Amino acid sequence: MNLNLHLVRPYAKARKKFKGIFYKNPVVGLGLALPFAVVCSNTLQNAAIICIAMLLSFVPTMMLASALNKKIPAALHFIAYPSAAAILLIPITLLVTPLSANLGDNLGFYLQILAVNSLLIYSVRPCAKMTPQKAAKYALMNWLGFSLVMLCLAFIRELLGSGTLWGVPVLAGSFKLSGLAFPFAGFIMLGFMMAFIRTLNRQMYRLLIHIEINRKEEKRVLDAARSLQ
Amino acid sequence: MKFKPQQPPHIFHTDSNCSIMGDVLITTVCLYFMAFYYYGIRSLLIGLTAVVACCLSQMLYMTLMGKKDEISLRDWSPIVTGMIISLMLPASIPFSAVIIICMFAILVAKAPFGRTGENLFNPAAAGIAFGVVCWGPQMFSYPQPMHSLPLIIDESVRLVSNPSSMLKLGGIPPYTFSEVIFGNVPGPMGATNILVITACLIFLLCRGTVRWHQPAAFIAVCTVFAFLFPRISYSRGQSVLFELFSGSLMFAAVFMLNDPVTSPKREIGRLMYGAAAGFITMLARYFGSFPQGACFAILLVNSMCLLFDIFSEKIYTMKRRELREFKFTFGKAIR
Repeated sequence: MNLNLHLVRPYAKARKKFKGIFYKNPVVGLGLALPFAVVCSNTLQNAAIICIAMLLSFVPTMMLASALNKKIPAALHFIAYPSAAAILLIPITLLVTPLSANLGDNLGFYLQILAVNSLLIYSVRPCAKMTPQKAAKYALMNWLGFSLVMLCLAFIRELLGSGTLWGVPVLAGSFKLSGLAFPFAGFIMLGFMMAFIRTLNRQMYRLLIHIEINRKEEKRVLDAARSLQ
Repeated sequence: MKFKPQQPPHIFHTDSNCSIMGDVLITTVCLYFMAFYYYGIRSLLIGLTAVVACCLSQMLYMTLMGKKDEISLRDWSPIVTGMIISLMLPASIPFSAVIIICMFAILVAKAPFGRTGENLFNPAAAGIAFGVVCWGPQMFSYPQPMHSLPLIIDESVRLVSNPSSMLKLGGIPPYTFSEVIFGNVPGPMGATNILVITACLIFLLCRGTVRWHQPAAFIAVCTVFAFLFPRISYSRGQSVLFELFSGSLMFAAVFMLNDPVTSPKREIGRLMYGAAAGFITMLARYFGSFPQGACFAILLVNSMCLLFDIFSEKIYTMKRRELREFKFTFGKAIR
């Protein structure tokens, strides 16, 4: 059957406009920055701190990569930019410290290893070829995608794992799945989230194709009816 | 000669999923009788809840995945999983915990890997491990046997720790050999009746449902470990007795370790698999934070199953090559 794909193509185009968030999401689509999504998403507070630190270190570093593209040899890219991110993380750590009483206990070294996270390393090469504005947009979209996944995971894990949201008790009674606070639960939930998003996308395409086929069929029947008249 | 143009497989075996699961079901029913005898009607209700939760989870997953033709529970595997899980739980566990453990076992540990027979981890072991992590104190507090339990557990029910918890804390369990053998000690409701479990093992061995390699290697390694490093310092024999028969070690050796899906295919691989499981179990018991480590050990060796298969295959290949070379040289010498 010859399809013009009037619905599928605009949908695919619209998805690509949100590249980094719903299309090629760094965590669920590309599998980048997984340690943070798995370990640091046990509470909303931890997730928010990591998201803020990621915003303040990742976006400027990508803009820097774009601005200094030709001034730094390509071989040094992977040393220079993580070093820049590491320098940025010193004031960021001081900035986010008031957000959590036990920052060291809750996040351990995960705040520091943001400087060498796989999302940053992966994004250096594409950002180096962009203008600073485009690099900033690219980095912001990827950060939004990362934050969305982190906060979703943290919401579910904190709510079911300890019955609280941002430390405030929400679920009445003693229903707790304390196992969700452990990293293995983060892996499992992330896996399920990936599967869910893939299934949702596949079903969306199927639905659109189904609607399109039905429309074609309707049009054919109407044309046949008109020709009979 | 008459040819029949049929689809493969062309070689059939009398055993089927259904017959294997049926054998396991018969043995678990025996353990339920003992659980009912020791803890009353609540133990049966826990079993029923677990089986229903496992079956519903399987059906839910199949419906969600659009595999409506596979919704029927003809292979009985969710029923067996439910029964094994419930027998590993204390009779005083809340029903909500049983449902969540069973849902985890089916929806997380089994269903995402595909159909029955394609799972990487033993679903029952995964469910119990999840239960231990989530409800640690309730999972290791057991009611006294021979006391019928009310449906809703309140403060009037006295919960105690089992002998393996006592060993973990450095104490000496105050139970006699006969009490341990007959299961008249606090513990998981189906895992303390050593005599019945041994009878189940013999039945399954005679039926050919399980092979001797895994349980034998597992128990042998545990025995040697307990003998060499006794936790009851004055008596090595007593230490071995309590290590083997006090927790869910024997139950795990019979019902979890022998899962045909998650164990290696060749004999040497099975022996290595059992030995590794035993060694990790004892390490988990001695140095882990929980008094029972069999479920965690089984999950760990499940992930190494392919390695054992590859290694055993290499050994067999080497043996075959040596035999061929020997025959070749021997033949030449004769000529």
